[in-house]
Amino acid sequence: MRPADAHVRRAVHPGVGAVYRVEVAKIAAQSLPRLGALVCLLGPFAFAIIMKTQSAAPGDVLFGRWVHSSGFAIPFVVLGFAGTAGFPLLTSLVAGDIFAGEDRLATWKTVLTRSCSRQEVFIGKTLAAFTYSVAMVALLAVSSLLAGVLVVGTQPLVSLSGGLLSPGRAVVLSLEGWAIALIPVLAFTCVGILFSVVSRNSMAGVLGPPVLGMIMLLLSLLGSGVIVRTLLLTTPFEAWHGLMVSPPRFRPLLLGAVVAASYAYLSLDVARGNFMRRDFSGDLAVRPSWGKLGRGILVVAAAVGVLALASALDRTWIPSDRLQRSIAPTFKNLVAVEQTMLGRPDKARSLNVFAFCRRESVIRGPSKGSGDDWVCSLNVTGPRLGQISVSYGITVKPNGCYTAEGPASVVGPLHIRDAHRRTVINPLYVFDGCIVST
Amino acid sequence: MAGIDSGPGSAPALDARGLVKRFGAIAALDGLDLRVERGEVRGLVGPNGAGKTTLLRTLFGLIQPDSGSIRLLDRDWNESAARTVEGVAGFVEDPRFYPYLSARRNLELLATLDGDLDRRRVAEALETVGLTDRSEHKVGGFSSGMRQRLGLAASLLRSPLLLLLDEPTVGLDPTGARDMRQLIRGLASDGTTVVLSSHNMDELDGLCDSVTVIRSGRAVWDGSMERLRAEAPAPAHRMWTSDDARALDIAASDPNVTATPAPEGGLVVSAERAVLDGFVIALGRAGIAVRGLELLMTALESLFYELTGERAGDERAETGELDGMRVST
Repeated sequence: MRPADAHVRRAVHPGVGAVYRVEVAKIAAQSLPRLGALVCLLGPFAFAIIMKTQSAAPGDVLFGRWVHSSGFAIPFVVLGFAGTAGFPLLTSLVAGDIFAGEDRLATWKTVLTRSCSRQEVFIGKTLAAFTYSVAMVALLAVSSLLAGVLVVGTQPLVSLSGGLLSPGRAVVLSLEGWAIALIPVLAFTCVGILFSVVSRNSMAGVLGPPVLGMIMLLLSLLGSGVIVRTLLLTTPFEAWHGLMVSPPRFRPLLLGAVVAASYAYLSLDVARGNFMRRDFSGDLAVRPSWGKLGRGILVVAAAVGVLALASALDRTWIPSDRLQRSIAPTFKNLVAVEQTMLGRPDKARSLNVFAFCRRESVIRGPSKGSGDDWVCSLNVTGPRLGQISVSYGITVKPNGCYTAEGPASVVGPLHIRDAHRRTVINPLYVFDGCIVST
Repeated sequence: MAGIDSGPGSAPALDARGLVKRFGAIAALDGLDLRVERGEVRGLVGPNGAGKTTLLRTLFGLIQPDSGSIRLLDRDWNESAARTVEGVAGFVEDPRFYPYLSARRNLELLATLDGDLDRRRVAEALETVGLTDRSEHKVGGFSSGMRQRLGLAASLLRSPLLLLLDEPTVGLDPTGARDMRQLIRGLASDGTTVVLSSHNMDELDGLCDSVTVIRSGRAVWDGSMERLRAEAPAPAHRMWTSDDARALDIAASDPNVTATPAPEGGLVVSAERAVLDGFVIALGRAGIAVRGLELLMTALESLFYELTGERAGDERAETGELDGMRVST
């Protein structure tokens, strides 16, 4: 080929679209992103099948105790697991490597000597990383929903307010929950891009966001302070809880969106500035020196220490009155569910439930905050039920979700027989609920 | 001749003035000027760290100079756009590709980044560099020579008017190096301007119209190959004789021969070829046997060391070369 006479080439500006197509093709050809997709596709099925073959259930996760009873619990349980550490790792498989991978392979000089500008390369790569993140969340959402429906079934699911969700409503809520998770997922994608650009090291890029996510998770477990929790990027992963209570609460979703957008903007702004100013002066990716690594660890440790201290001093958002306002209607709804199971729905009509909650460890002053020493006394009155007093032991988590365990002598054992003589879970024995910030 | 939407043809293909680039305390480019006319084949030579690769990276826009101006194909390099100027192609150091993709797929993606994916043209480029039969193989299994060829194929896809090549024959076997040189000559004969850096002065001699010698980030010599050859001193040889002392006496009697004892034994003799022939005959007539004669440094190499201030022995020690052909890295 004589290039100079074989082809007349016009000045072309291929734009962001060309970079995007190339990046998507590269992602599709790499083994790690493929492995991530495979896990998203098959993981929920494996989980559902394992749950099906076992009698135990992951009771420490929201909806975990319902995985044997309703297939619609599976997507929510998977969503809960993924929100802790799965999503940051999943997104960083591509986002953490999409820039640093060019350093690892010494291919920047190949990419940047074509007709695309650096700005187009940056935007195209960012959009490709977003695409992978969205695709993985969508894949996980659909596969977990299908896994639940196909492996367990389409039985109604008990919501966090104690009501029964019809299959149609459960599907809609499940998809809405996954859609809400996309907001922090995209923010973590931006954080991954920042790690990737600044570190120029694939391992730091891929592992940075999950490590950051784990640190944030640990901070969120340290205390239930409202300011620190709001600032953490892991908190928006729990915004879907607001959809599962009645009436739905959208404030966590809005707050989470603002926080996630802030993380995303800051990450992309710093990453873009670094990328645009960078001199591509050598082939080898920067390997973090021990000195730099040590300084980085010190900075992170200092930040964690400050946040941990702030978390301890931060005012709590879980006072006793809010727990009382949540647990009373939830219990009332669950009584209705239980009585319907037993074939006597009329018995639960016109119930009145009054709750009084306190922490056993608090001698003086108001009870508040997370802990496993909460006790709620529920006084239940109704025309066909008379008056009953039930005392529940409550474990309140820093995120506002709680688990209530009732006395078997009053509410019955874990498993009961329904009107059709089938063994079912007694919804009053142990139940979950959530106090969602308003 | 290939055409892009370029400016007037009379302007130089490359006009770089006062380029300065510092990396900390090190000035990789220190006020370097370089002007290359259209259709010219220009060689860049210099010792390690002279600034050749930094210059090429700067011309591609991979490095932003601290000061100075660059016009490529009559266009100012636009720092804000930070994209390689249309019509400019080539590679710096060893070309790199995505190892998990085939050669063909790599070229297709690069053509997409040029906004001009034409699969027939990709196939032609692979054929031109002799990689058609390996086009579906993953690049991860390619040798450096094959990657070098693929790098040229990737450059050809851009229909270059200005081709910037960094040591294009490194890693190639003798046949591959010959093919590469032929290809470059072919491109030059079609009007493509070529700027290439090389280790091999003799290679530049056969390939380039002109040479720029770079030292410490500056162009210390700039001119045609004819001028370079004219200014070059006599080539140096190492000679082993049966009687070095008498051989030195005979050399001293001929003003066109310079002979000095070599530290590691034998003599270093500097003389033009014809004069050297006469010197060897004179030694034979004097009953002195010539037991060995080795080209130590070509005329161009001698000039190179003179211009760059490098010591040939140091360079040889660095490169481990003994054949006297290698100039610098």
